[in-house]
Amino acid sequence: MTTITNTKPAGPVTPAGRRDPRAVWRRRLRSLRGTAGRLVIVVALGAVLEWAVASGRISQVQLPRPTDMLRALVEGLLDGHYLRLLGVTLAETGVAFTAAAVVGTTLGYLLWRRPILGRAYEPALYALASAPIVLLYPVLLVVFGRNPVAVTVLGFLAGLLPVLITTFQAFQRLNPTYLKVARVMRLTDRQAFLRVLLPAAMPSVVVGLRLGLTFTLLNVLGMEYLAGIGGVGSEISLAYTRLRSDEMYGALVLSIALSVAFLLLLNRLTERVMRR
Amino acid sequence: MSTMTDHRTHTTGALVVDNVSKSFRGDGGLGEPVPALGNVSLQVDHGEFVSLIGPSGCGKSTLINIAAGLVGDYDGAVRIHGDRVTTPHPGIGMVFQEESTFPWLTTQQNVEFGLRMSGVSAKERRDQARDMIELVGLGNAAERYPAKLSGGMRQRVALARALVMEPEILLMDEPFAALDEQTRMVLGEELLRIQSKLQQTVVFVTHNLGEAVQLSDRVVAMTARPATIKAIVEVDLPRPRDSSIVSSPRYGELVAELWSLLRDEAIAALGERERG
Amino acid sequence: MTVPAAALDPGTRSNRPARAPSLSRVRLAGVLGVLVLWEAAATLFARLATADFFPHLWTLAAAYGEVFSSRFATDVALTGYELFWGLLFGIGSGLLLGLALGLNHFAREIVEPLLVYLGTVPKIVLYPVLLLFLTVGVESKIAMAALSTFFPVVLHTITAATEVRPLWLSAARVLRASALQRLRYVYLPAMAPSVYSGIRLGIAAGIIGTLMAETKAAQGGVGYRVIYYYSQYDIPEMYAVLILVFVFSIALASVLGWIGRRLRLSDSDPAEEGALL
Ligand SMILES: Nc1ncnc2c1ncn2[C@@H]1O[C@H](COP(=O)(O)OP(=O)(O)OP(=O)(O)O)[C@@H](O)[C@H]1O
Ligand SMILES: [Mg+2]
Repeated sequence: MTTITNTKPAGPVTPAGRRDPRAVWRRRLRSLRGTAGRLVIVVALGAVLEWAVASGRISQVQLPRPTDMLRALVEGLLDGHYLRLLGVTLAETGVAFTAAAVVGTTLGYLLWRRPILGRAYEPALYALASAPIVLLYPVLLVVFGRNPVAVTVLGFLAGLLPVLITTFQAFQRLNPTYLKVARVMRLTDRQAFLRVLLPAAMPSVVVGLRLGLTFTLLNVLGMEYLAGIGGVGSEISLAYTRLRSDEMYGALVLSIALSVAFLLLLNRLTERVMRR
Repeated sequence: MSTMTDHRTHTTGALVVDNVSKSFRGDGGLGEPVPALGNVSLQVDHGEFVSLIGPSGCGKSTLINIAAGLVGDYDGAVRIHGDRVTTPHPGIGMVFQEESTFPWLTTQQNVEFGLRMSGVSAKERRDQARDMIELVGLGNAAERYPAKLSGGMRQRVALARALVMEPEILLMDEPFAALDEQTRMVLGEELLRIQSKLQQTVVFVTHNLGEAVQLSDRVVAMTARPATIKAIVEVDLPRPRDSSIVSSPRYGELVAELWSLLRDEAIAALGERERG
Repeated sequence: MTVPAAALDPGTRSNRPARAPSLSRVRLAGVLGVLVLWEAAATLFARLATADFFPHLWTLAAAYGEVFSSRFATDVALTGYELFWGLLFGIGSGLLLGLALGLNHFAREIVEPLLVYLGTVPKIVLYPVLLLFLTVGVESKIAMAALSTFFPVVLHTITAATEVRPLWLSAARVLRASALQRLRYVYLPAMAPSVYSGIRLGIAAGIIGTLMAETKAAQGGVGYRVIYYYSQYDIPEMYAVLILVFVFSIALASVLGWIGRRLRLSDSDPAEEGALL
């Protein structure tokens, strides 16, 4: 491929890569600029709020000083309380997602192997994917009681559909030539699946898994808050009822950090898988 | 026969390129300037058909884009009717090298687009577009969207979209590159017919030396980047021409001459890409 | 078209399509299967002590009598009111900010990642903040709906602005389109599909956000009704309302999808539509 942006006809050629090191630096600088800009925005916002609360323009009850929030967050982390909450949330998410991944990919594949089922139920799956699954939480409370199991089941349900649908689509959109190639090479079903179909479908399946994990975490946190059970999400609800707004905001920052950390982690992982 | 510069006076030409240079900065304006055009001067007369040939990446599209008024910032001057071009001149028509049909419009609507912008009545533009669509052989694809057309068909839509405006100057950047040889021949003849009927001035970029000879009055051979004019070859074949011309001995000689002009440049361009 | 899986083993499966059952029959079988399973579970659990969470189908049907004879219409009206304003604010602000960022390269580079990060946070956890600043009444629900709607709309609008290919603008310029005409005939149609799917997702997210908020702290509304029945342990009535909510959401999604296809605007992936909290 032609690389337009960083070709320098007369410039020195680096032995290792052909990339111009100055261009790499420029790119790095630009991404640094973005990060710095965002940092400035967040810090400025924090400073404005700090000032607004300190000067009494916003009541302490509605919004503690950002510094107090951070103190609550750090204290919570240090005395192990938040770590326990994080543990519960991560455990729920982990179990729910693992189950969703196993069941979703299997069902998605089976649905494709039986085209009649796939065609019959595909619209229903899409419809369910746009349904407000999280509102089932009272049902799960009734069935499983007020405990982390109920949260886990909701996380499983929420993660299941995207995984299932994308797996089904991944196989369905496989280039038909792959199937022909497998046939021409006289591969057995098993070989064809392991050596041709699966590798070919993998990138899309990974996208589905990523989506599933995001949904699972969203729903776990959401239900924890709504039902007041489980980990980080429930802490927000409890602190609110205790009228401890600094603790509430601390837990809020914690759950935002958790979501963002997941996003960044997933970006890294999928980048790695996709790069192959 | 071949000259380095154009000695005719600069006032008679339909399109006058006067000492035009252009360099790009890569990396979003942060990189080193890369020269794409170096001091190109050329004069195209009224009703003349001029082809540009030259190695890939040498700057042909850049020149065409400047002439179309799509690149405001360049050195030197391109003049149409004596005015320096910085925005699209109303008398100009263009066929782009890349896919440029509007995906949200049908073939018919795509071809009508320019007429509609200039306020031609609905009935009139429907009929004109209809005729042009028939002419490029898309009669039964008039109501289809570009997504449902092949690459060659889309390029013919773009061609019809430019031709229907009956522009005084037609800039064509590899308009036939995506077409099969037979369609290319037929459309070439058709283009010549329209061009001589409307007395249009055409600047035509191509990599196909035979095509250049078949269609043009003059062929301009350009050097590897930064493009300068290496030689201009007069095509002294009689008009009107049709595709039977390819069997004449003079045709073969001209193609051979162009190839000998381009050979070294092509190799130079390849070498540069290896290094870049 | 479905890729026939049978292509892999040509001998056995591929040459008997005639015996394949029809789609509608498979679907009917699916629906009946679910109903039968439900009844079986209901019967089984009725034997046990904790009987109530699988009510018989007829109990469920009867529950609608109770739901409709209550003040359910008032709840629907309240939720509708909250949604109307919430969606209006959410879509409006999302479009405005999305356009501003989409057209300003520098601002977008800095702010878009911030919006993406915040977009992955379940908005409902911000509900207590809204409660602290607003009342438990309609204001907090409207704010919740607007907040939920905002993110899909703004993110899709930014994307839409980047989907306008410069080449289209060049082509339009050479075809003599004025700046205003380019806005109307290039920007608008080129951005419409992405913006529309943003609005569609935004509406769905707004509905979920509002209902969740109503289940948490409210004085009325459909979500409040669900949690009210739950707290009263009126399980069949709770199911009845939830089924209505599901049917409504799915119907709305289908209608919006249909409109999108009619207007040639649909480009979104159905699998992504659940990321709405
Ligand atoms: N917008 C741009 N920014 C930076 N560099 C550019 C830009 N456009 C073109 N270039 C560079 O200018 C040179 C000439 O490009 P141009 O597209 O004019 O070549 P071309 O002769 O049309 O090639 P081809 O025959 O492959 O179409 C190339 O080296 C290209 O990398
Ligand atoms: Mg080109």
